[in-house]
Amino acid sequence: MSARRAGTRRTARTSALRCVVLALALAPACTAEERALEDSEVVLRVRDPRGLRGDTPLAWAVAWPRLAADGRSAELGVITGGGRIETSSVTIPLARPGPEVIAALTPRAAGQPWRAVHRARILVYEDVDADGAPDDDDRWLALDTDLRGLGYIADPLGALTDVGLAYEQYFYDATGGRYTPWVRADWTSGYPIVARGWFENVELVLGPPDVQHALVECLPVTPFAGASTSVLLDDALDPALCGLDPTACSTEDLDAIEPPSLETSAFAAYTRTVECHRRGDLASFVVLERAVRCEACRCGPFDATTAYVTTATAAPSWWPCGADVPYCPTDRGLTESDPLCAAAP
Amino acid sequence: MGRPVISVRTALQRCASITALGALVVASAPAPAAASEPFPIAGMRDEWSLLPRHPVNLLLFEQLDDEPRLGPGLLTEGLAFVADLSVRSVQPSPRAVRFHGMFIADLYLAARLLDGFDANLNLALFTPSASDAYRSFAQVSPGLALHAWGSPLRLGGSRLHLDLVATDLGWITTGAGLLVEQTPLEGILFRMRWREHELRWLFGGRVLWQDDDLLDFSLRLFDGALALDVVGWLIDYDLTSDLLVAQATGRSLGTNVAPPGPDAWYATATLDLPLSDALRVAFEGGARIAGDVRPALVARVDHVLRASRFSTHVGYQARWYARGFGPRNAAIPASLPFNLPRREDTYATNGFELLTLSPAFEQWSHTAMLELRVRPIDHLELFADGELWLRFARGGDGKVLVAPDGFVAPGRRLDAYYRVGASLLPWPEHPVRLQTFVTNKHTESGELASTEVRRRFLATTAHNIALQLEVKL
Repeated sequence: MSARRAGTRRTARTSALRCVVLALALAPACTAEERALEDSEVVLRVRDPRGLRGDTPLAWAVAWPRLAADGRSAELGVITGGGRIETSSVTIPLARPGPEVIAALTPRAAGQPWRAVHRARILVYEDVDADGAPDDDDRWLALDTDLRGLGYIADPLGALTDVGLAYEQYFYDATGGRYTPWVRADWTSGYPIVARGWFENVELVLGPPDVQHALVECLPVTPFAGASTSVLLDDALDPALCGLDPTACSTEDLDAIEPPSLETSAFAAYTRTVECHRRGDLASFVVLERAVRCEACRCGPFDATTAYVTTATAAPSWWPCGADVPYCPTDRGLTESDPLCAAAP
Repeated sequence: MGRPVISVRTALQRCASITALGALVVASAPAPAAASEPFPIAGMRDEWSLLPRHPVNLLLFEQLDDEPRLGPGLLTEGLAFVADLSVRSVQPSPRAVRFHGMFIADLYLAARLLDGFDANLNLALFTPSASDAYRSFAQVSPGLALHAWGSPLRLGGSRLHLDLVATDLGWITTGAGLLVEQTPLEGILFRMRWREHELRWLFGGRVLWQDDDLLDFSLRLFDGALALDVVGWLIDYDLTSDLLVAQATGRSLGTNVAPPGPDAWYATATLDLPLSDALRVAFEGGARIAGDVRPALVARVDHVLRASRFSTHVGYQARWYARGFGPRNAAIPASLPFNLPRREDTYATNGFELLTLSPAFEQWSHTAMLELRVRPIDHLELFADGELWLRFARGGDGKVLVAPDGFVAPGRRLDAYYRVGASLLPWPEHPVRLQTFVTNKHTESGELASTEVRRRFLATTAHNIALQLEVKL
């Protein structure tokens, strides 16, 4: 090798080293921080169509129901958040509970690909004893029991690993785009999966306290559905119209009773419809209320129908049929509710 | 991109096909009087590495002199046969490694049917695991490469050499590896070479996703010292689905994937400068050019020293991929359907992993490579291969994604791959090696080697001792 060629190579090597140094200098800084899990939040809307709210201010709490010490019933468990409800709508911050809270829970269902998913419940109550936490001294008025409710994925990173890329969108759909354990989970299949979309809001309808206590203590409740009908005959009518079940039928002077409300409600947790039927000279005003009821840990929707029956031509003074509530052409009986007839006054 | 791009693509494909067919006719016509020796086709093998290397299913006659073999190589005039045979046992956790208790007979047969026309057949016969039922997963993976070449024309006093290869293209690298590096492809390669300059057209099917194809127009000047590439990464439709997850999430298949396409087009420039016999610097910079321009670059420095008793390779590689550089518009995992331990002949550092996360993250990495070969006595060679790959990803719009290889983005991760061991050479003059080594570099594979996998190597925590017998026949 000639000295000239060797010199050329040394120069080339020097240039190459300079190129490398320059490339390293131009490379982006070595800063790529790992992202930490975030908390989340959800908007809570409280409805009170039945007027159950008392004078005590309402409050909310995030509870983690768990098995009670007796191993059979459940209890409200650890409370990881709470606050006042000043208006009908409040934004609830969803903080991540400590690992000891999650470790103490038994996941309602566990399985691939989402691993353990815990169910958190939002409780609305009147903080009667003003201690800032729900207990038996308070009036529990609503519990989040939706099958598409608040879920908490114990190991979000593991879940993301399991579902793999291209499916991570399901996770972020269910978290509202956040890297958080809080998801909207769907238990309708009996096992938890992430639901489509985060909550626009969680809407809770106030109900009787005994039902809320039962919903917590009986978790999981036994599904149940029931119905009852009570008939109030105007005393001008023949009591024989009651038929063979006098316990569900009575005669009253309808002019003398407190006029029933014409309010309607269309919440899933509480439905109230009013309708009017007519058969010949007889007319009826039918009120159907559907609400959750619990009996011995059997909870579910209960339809309570109240029918007021009178003579169409001699109706009580408050009689709304034909005026505020139109008569409904239906083939059903005078005391039966017809979904097609449910009408707003 | 909408219809115009598809039309352009179709036109390009048709034009290229016609060109290729024409070239095939020209090249496979009765051998011209001035039929030349075929030129090597660069990019099918990484010359700047000491990692194990096997034959290429092309130009086998020209490879016979590359390294000693136990067999004759040239069986008779116009017929060559070589084979790489290996059996390997892996301990102590063989279940984690698909290819354990395995054999591979990698057979290469080439027939020079005409002066200017080769038929190359590679048969990989293998059984991944002795733990399977007797021969129950024994497989054969064939690759056929027809290679026609000729020099029918003269331009400016120099011959214009033409090559056409189809369909087994072997392990393809475009540029310096920014987009595709050491990736097995089937397709068509057409080359025109004039003096030390080349014009190439490559069409590769099913590159990193089930629904993709690759078009590479490459102008390589001065024996590849400068190369200009226009690459089309064609996304036809999206087959990515996962029945399990689709069922678990209650969604029907077809609703859980990103919409198809559009195609991604790239322009890249490569400088590959061998500064000496031992040192080279390579740089490829490019950008995705359709829509928003998304740049990326790769830089490599390699120093290879080969001597009879002592060989080393010291390498450094830097990569930077702007967010959105990859061909997909959603983070759909890249996958590979050809998963033999041959992959261990390549580096773990590859665009494969970076392109998967590219739609959501800016990524960059630094890699240091080191390979050592020491032969203290004739019957013994000590070897050590190491690769440190430090990866970074940032961005993601507040989301965290977990790549199939477990990389959590955004974030950083250091992967260390190694293979350290010794080769016993009972007949030093012959290529028969009994190797034992400790390694954590294992090719990921399904039960069948043709099952798609979404990571190239197993987790680096899978440390094993391997015993391997290799014979180059």
